[in-house]
Amino acid sequence: MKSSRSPNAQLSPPSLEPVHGRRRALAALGVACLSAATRAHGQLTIEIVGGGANQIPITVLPFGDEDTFSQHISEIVSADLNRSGRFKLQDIGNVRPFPTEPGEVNFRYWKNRGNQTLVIGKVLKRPDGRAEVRFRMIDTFKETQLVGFSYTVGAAQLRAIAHKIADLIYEKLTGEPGVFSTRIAYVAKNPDRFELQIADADGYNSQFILAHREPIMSPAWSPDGTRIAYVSFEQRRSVVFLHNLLDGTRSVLANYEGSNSAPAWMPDSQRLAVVLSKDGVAQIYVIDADGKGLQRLSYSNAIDTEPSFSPDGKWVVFTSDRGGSPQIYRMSAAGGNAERVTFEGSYNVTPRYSPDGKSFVFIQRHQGRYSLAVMDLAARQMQGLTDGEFDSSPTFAPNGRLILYASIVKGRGILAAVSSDGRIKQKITASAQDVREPAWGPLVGNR
Amino acid sequence: MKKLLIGICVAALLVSGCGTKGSSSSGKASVEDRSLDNKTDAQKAADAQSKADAAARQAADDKRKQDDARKAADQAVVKPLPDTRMSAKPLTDVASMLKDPGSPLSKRSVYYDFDMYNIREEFQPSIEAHAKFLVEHKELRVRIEGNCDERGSREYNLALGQRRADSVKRALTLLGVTPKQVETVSFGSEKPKAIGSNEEAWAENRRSDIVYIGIDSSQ
Repeated sequence: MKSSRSPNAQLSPPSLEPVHGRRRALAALGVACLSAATRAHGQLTIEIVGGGANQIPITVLPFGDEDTFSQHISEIVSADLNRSGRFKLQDIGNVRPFPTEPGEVNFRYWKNRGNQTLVIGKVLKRPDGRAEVRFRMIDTFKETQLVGFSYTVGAAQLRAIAHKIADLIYEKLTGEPGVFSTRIAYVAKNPDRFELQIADADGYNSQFILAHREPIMSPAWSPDGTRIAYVSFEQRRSVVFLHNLLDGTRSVLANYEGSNSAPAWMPDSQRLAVVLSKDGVAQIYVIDADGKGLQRLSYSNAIDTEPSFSPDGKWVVFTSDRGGSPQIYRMSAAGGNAERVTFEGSYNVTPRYSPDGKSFVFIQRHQGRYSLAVMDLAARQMQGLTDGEFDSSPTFAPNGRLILYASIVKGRGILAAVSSDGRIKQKITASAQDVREPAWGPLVGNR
Repeated sequence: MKKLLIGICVAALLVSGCGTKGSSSSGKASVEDRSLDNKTDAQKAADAQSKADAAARQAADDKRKQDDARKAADQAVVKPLPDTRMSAKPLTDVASMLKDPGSPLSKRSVYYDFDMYNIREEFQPSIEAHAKFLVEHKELRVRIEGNCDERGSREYNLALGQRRADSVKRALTLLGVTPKQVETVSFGSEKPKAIGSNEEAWAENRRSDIVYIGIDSSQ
C-alpha cells in the first residue's frame, strides 16, 4: 500500500545557514501549512512489506462529501489503521449511497457480510469555509454506536483530525493509545546539505527545522514534545544543541573540548545525558536543559556512549567497549557500577528502552549483518526483529508497538519500521533524499 | 637610539627593583619587630649587619647587571644585521616539503582495522616523520581528523573516530611534539571520503587524516 496524495507542505527556500524561524517552527508542528499543492522533495512514502496475525477486521466507508476538500478523511484513517498492521480493512460493499448517519445503516446487510465494525461519517462545508467532520464507529451486530465525535476545523486541520479519528478507533479496539497524531524527526542528506526534518507519523507535512552543509546527527525529542536535542557539526566539530519547537529558538547544550554527542532526555524533560570526550575517552555525563549542572555519570577507560533512560528514570542503558568489544550495559541513573546485559556476538550497540521499560531494542552484528533485536530485561532473552544488512538507529513508537529505524537499500538511506513482535514490516522512502536517524516523538496533547 | 632605550630599560628595572624591595622589607620589618621583642641587642646588631651585607650584595649585583646590559648594548650596535632572506623559511617551502611525493610527509593518513584505533606498524615511519617535522617547525599546527566506516552505530563511531584521532595525537606528542600543536576532531562516519557499501570503501574510510592548518586547510 502506498500513500499517494501530495503532502501540501511547502518547504522554505534553501539555505545553508541554520534555520530556526518562528514560521518554520509552526509549520513543523504539522498542522499549519497546508496551502501549496506542490510535492515537497523530502516527502516520505510508506510501503507495508509484511502482515500481522490476529488483525482486527474493520470497515471504513467513504465519508459523505469528503471529496469537496483536498484531504479525504476516510482514506487517511484507512491508511493509518492499515499501516499499524493491527487491522484488516474489509471490503466496503456495494450499497450506494454509503450510509453517513446511524439511521442510514442497513444493519442486516453489513451483518450478513460479516462487517461487524463500521466507520461512517460526513464532512460538512461551513459558510465560513471551515469543515465539520462527523464520525461514528458502529457495531452492526449489536446495533450500537461504539464512539462518535464531531469536529469543526479549518481545511488545514483535516489531516490532523483524520489522525485523531484513527487514534480513537485504535484505542477503542485495542485498548492502547494510537500514535497516528505523533510526529517523527529524522536527518535527510541531500547532495549539498543536511536537513533535520520533522514530519507527521505517516510521513506527511515534512519540514526541516535546520539545514546546514555540515552533518547533523542524533535527534532526540524531549518527552514533553516541546524540544529536540541534536548534534550539529556546523562549527566543524560535534556540538549538542537544543531546539525549541514552540518558538524556533535554539541554544548550545554542550560544547566542550573534543566530541559532544548522544543527547538522551530524562523522563522529566529537565535534564539530559550527553556524551563528552573532554576528559579523555567518550564518557556519559548529565546536564540540565539550560546547560548548567554538568556531572559525570560513567567512569571507565573505554568508550561509554548512546545512553537511554528507562521510562521511570531509574536506569540507563548504554554502549561500552570496556570489555573489549562494544556491548550493552545497564547502570543506575545515579551512576555507580554497570552490569553487562548483552553477551551474544561481538558487536551490540544503540540500546533504546521500550516505553513500558521492560525491554530495550538494539543493533546486533550477526555474520557481518547489522540488524535489530530486542532484549527482555526480566528474562534476559534476546529476539531478532529484522534481517537487514545495515540497520541502525532504532526508535520506539510511544505505544511500544512499532519500532522505526534506518537502513540502507541499494546504497541509499531509507527508514523502515517493524512491529515489536517482528511480524509487520514497513519500508519508508523519501524521494531523492538519503534519510537516516529517525526519532519518534512522544504522545502529545488531548487524546 | 638603541643604546638609549636599553639604558632606560635598565634604569627602570633598577628603580622598580628597589621600589618593590624597599616596600616589602619595610612591611616585613614591622612584623618582625613585634615578634622579635625578646632579641638581645647583640642579636639585633647581627641582624642589622646581615641586612646591610645583603643590601651591599644587591647593589654589587645590580651594578654588574647594569654593566652587562651596557656591554650587550654596545655589542648589539656593532653586530651586523643578519640577512633575513637567507635564514627565514618561507611558508611555501614547508608546503612543498609536505607535498613532495618522495617524502614520508606526503602520507597524511593512518588506516585502521574494523573497530580498532591502534596505529598499525606500517604507519609508524609516517608518524615519526610528521613528529620530527612538527618538532622542527614549532610554528606549524595540525588537526587530526578521525573517521570510521558507515557500519554499525553512528554515535559509537563518533566516539571511535575521536579515539583514533587522539591516538595519533598521543603518538606525536610522545615523539616530542608540543600538545598545543595538535588538535583532534572526530567526524565518525558522517563524512565518508569513499562512497559505497563495500570492503574497499570501508577500508578507505577507517582513517585518521593529519591536516596541516593553514596549508591543507584555511582553519
